[in-house]
Amino acid sequence: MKKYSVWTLITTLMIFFSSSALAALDIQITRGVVRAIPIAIVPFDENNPNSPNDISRIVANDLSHSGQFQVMPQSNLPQKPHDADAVSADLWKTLGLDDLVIGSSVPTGNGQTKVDMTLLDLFHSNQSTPTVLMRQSYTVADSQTRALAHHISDIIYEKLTGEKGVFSTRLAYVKVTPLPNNPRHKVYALMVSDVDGHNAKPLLTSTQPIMSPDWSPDGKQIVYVSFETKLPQIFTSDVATGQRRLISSFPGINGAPSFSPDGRSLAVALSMGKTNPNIYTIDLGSGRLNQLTNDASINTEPSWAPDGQSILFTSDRGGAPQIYSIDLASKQTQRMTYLGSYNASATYLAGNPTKISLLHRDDRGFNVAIYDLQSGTMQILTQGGYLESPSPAPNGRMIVYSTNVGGRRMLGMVSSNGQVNIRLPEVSGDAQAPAWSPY
Amino acid sequence: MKTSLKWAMMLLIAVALAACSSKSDDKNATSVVGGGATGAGVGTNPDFDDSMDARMAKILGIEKNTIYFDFDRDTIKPEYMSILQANADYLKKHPNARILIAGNADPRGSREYNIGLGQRRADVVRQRLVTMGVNANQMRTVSYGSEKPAVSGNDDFAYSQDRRDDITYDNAG
Repeated sequence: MKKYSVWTLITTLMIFFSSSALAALDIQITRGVVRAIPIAIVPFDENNPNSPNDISRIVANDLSHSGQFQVMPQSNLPQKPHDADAVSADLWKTLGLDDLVIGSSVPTGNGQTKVDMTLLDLFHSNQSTPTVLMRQSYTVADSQTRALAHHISDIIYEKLTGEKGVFSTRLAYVKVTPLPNNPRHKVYALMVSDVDGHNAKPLLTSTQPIMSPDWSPDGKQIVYVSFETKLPQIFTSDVATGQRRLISSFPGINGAPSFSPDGRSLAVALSMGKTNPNIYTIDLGSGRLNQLTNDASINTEPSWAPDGQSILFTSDRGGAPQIYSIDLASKQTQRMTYLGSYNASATYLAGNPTKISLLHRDDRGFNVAIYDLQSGTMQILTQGGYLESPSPAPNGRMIVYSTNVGGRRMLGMVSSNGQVNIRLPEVSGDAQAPAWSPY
Repeated sequence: MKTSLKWAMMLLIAVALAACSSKSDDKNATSVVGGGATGAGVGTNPDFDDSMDARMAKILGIEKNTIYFDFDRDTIKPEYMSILQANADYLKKHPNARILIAGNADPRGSREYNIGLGQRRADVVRQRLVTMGVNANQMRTVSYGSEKPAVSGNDDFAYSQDRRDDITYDNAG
């Protein structure tokens, strides 16, 4: 018997369900906020003011991380009312507050909690009684209080900014953990978590790299690259069931998968046994391939325009990586970026067809930037210098990325106005290649 | 609860599959990464076994079957020609031997772009071995981009260790 007779060492993958893998992720605000909506959230449950599941605390965190709100610290609150009748509008107005959230959360026994929430407008009330903008009442299972808190953040955000909030969305990312007894080797996990990093669960683990997760437009599937056979292949996994489907296993590079806006096809980078990858689309129904680029440079990171008519991609055909756009019908290609010697990882920002988020290198290293295709201006949002994999939120207001902090990779988020930059530290290992889910 | 049941079912299937594969001749394909990050089952997983690499390096008379590259380059430096020659001689003498040439990039920049850079480095070594008379069918290439850094760290030394091709033998022939 030949001991090493296998061409392909099959890495057995195991999908597991351990909830003990929950990462306790606390969030650090690294830059301040100006010109944000001043708001105060009065604690809903004074008996457990420091509980991580306290609804008012989660809402306060969500809103302050969005970059759109200035949340008053709890220690500065002049009063802690639970009812609108008890609110002294003048007292709050003199502190410069526009809006106030009050409420209560009361356990009802049987594993459930009753939550009341009222959003008050102080700015437009000329009387000492505040105007009620919104009043909601919920009874939820105790296990659902975090989800409810994110929902409350969403409706407050939408009421006050006119845009949909993203606090109930999720992140997919890759977590890499060195083996304790042999740190040269790593375990790679495709993770799915709440958008604040809580509730992180592995969808898949492997002894070989996992790369480039991307969500289907309905949020039910994640497409990614897995090297479980030692060679790259593209799979989709059902987020709820973990069921996998092999999509692409061509010779050479199978990389950078991206769901089309209608969810029916993928754009991918394939080298087809040659050295350099080109951009293709794969019809998920028929499996039909459509080659878009055809040249001997690196062409990768396809990302669809919201209308599905064109695709952004990274290419070094001009000597260094820059962003190009190709029209699917005419296959006409246009160079989009000229500023700087390295632009990559581009994605259109939702709600703004002229702006793309990207990875930009200058003398401060690699940072997340927003490039305005119309004005040709580059706004650099971060300062770390070791950033990668920017992925914008579905409302275009925040961008998640991976960065190096003290020798480890962590996820961070920056608001699109650059005013709030937060980190979601992992307890162990590296967190990389984040992808923000759709709504 | 329903979800937990589904997960449990999938675990059973995964274990069953692992058990099936252990009955085949392929003893290398039996590994399960138990408990994921805890690293249970490491001893049985060939992916975590470096002994083949060490054995082949000894046979080839080299310290390490790795070729390093300069920043942003895919040219083979003269000091690595002896490593390529040792592999070429061995592969020509052992036509059943099979290698995997894995190209790697340093961790800066876009991960998928780095996959492209690593593939260039892997293919340049493959092409050189072909020039040296090695049958192309004995070689596969892959790029791990910046997914398998050789060392952790963000300085020039760490980067110089990351920009490399690792040659591993899937089959010693």
